[in-house]
Amino acid sequence: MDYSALWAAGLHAFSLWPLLSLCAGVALGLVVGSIPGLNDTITLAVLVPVTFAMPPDIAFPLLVGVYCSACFGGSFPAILLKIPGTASSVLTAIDGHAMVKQGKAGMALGIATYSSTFAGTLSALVLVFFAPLLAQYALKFGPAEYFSLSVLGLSTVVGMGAGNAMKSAFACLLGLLVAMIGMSPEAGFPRFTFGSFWLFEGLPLTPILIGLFGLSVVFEMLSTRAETAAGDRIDRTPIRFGDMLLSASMIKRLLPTWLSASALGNLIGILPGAGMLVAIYLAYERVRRRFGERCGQGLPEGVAAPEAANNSVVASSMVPLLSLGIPGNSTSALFLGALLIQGLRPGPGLFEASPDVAYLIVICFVIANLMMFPLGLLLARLVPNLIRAIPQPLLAASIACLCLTGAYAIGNSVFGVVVAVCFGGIGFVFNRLQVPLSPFILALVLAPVIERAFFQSMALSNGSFTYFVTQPLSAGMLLFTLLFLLWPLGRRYFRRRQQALAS
Amino acid sequence: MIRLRSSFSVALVMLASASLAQAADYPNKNIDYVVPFASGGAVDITGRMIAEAAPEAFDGKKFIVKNMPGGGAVVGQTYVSSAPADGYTLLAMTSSVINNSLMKDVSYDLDSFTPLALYNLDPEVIVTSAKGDLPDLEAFLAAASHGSVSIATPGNSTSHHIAALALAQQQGLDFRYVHNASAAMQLQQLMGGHVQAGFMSLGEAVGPAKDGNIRILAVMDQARSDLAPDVPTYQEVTGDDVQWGTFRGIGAPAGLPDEVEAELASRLQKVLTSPEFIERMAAAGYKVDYRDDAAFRQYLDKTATQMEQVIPLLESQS
Repeated sequence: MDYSALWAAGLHAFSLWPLLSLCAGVALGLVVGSIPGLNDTITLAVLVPVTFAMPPDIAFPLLVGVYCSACFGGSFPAILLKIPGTASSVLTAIDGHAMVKQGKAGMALGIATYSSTFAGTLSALVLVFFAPLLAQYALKFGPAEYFSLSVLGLSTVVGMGAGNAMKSAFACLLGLLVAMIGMSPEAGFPRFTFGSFWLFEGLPLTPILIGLFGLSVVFEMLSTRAETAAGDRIDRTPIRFGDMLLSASMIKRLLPTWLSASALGNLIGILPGAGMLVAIYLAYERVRRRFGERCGQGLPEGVAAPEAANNSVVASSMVPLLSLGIPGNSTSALFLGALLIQGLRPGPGLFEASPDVAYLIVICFVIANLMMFPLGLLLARLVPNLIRAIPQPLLAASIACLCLTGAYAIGNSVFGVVVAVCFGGIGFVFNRLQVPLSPFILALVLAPVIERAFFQSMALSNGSFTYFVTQPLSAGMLLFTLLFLLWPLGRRYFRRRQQALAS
Repeated sequence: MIRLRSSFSVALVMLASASLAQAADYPNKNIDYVVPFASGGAVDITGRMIAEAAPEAFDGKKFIVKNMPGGGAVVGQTYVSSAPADGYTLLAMTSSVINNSLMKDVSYDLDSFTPLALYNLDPEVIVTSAKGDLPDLEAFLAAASHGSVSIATPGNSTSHHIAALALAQQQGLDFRYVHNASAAMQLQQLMGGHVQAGFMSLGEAVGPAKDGNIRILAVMDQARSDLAPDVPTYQEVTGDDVQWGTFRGIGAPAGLPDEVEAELASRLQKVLTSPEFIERMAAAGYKVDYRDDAAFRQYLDKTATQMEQVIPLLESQS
């Protein structure tokens, strides 16, 4: 570790232009994150070509700022409207919106801000000091480990859906089915494509999310009577800064949740591929295990855990890119493009070849997360009051407009819009039947990972199933899966025995 | 509705004839440059560098890069094949144009496009994990002819998978394929030592090889590359002439007016051979190998013939 270069980069980050562009990036990220239909990937795809002409010390702070704050911005609509602005705030919506219904909107936004800042800064520091170490650990993950991790992630659906395991299982299976659409990863055989090339690569994830969460809410608004809905919304006092600042006792209460969620985010987020969602779901599952029924009904930890986890994934997803040159997700693939265009090649040599830019990038992650705090509070002060000032019909129309534009922009095609509208209908029906959406999303994202990892393992082991348990990491995760699945049954058994003993 | 549609088609016809009339003053507006992949990949990055350099040779008119991913590039390719042939829609052409038209049920083939220029050739390389037990090509070939060697690919039916299949058939080798969803995941498996070897483009392999994470065994080209002068060609080691690689070029819909085609080809040549563009590409790790429209067409036909011979392998492998 070259501390003098780190120090120089740190000083440089606080000079006028880098700091200004970082600030602009953070503000932009918050805004696009909080708009349903826009996300960090789309924004960076637009920005990366713009950064061609910029010197690196302005280009990278801007990109880092957007990337860091977008997933925090996603929590605003998730909490206020139950529309996750980005995929990373899917679970924040559950407890966050429940808190809003209890009149604790300010507190929910405050928790999201504190959690995001805390976990984001922590993982940015991990990125600065431990990136090479973590990267070596990420390489240990082979096909068997990916398979077991995804199975472990999938096992968390058992607890979702407010105790109704059948509905969760139904949503999960439906997600697995939808994930079957497209070319099979092993043989390249087209499944359920009906000869249409639009379906060759499967249904695109972002339009599905836009439909399930954004458009379904619009349909919901359309189907409820305007007067009752308006009464439900406007009758609230505006949010003040005071509501958002957390008391010392609350911070003390949330601290263990933040720490465990960031640990999960840092360890799982660095894995190229499945990281983000698995980390969030596992962090939420930990909270659910601790609080049981209270989770999902406006529990502060239910907002803190996913928000802390998703912000720690942001910085840790840069670990494989900066230390190995492997982009961990689509957003860091764009970073890779931006680096290459500036003539910088990410990998172990980056910190030696151009320490000024490399250290500037990692330092910017730390500063961007710190900047999120005041900017986030400011936005939290403005946005909810703005949303409440907009009449319901206008709000529904503007959400629909943003959702459809976003769905189109992703692939520059109407196909995305069609997918979004279809899944808007599905999401609406799910909500009416009180089927939880989160198991559906998780299954949809993990199914291809599980399938691919399974066939890869079979190819490597010559078709032996014992491969999954002879790899120690994989065996450990499968054991945890088993514990997760048996836990509710075991608990019920013990409780009955205790009751029997007591009587 | 019918009236609307007919007036729409009248408008289209008028537009088309208008653009024919305007062929002489080409270009008079911005040009769409369709990248049939998501942003961030090599085709996208190099496409954006072309777009940056283009206005100078195109009278200040801009190239607007449009990402149209989907269906393994089929979505973008279909869009361009049916776009008006007026020179205002270009396609980033890669070997997937040939693969897709031969293997998938698509509405276009190679003749649906006018090749304009080729700007980058990337030969295929065989790589192994630096920690692995296969130090050179001889060891690799020996291992694959006596037992099976696990091979990581960036996906089923990708040009790298096809390269491995073709080599296995020619040389009687036994490979077990580990298909990934992206080149990034393939690289991770190789670096972690989970698979024994992999097939990829030289451009992707040079960086990680310099870092000492993977080892390049051989390059499937007629001569060694400047990017990796220490790596022998396949022919040097074995005596067999094995060549494979991917290419990146620019095309337009078929049926361009001759003047427009000539304008485009000469202006693209100016862009792609300018020292600033070559320097920019070199900084990002790409070598510019410019070939004009005629040479590109010839190259495409040769690749298509080569591919047609290999396709049956792909269809019988599973």
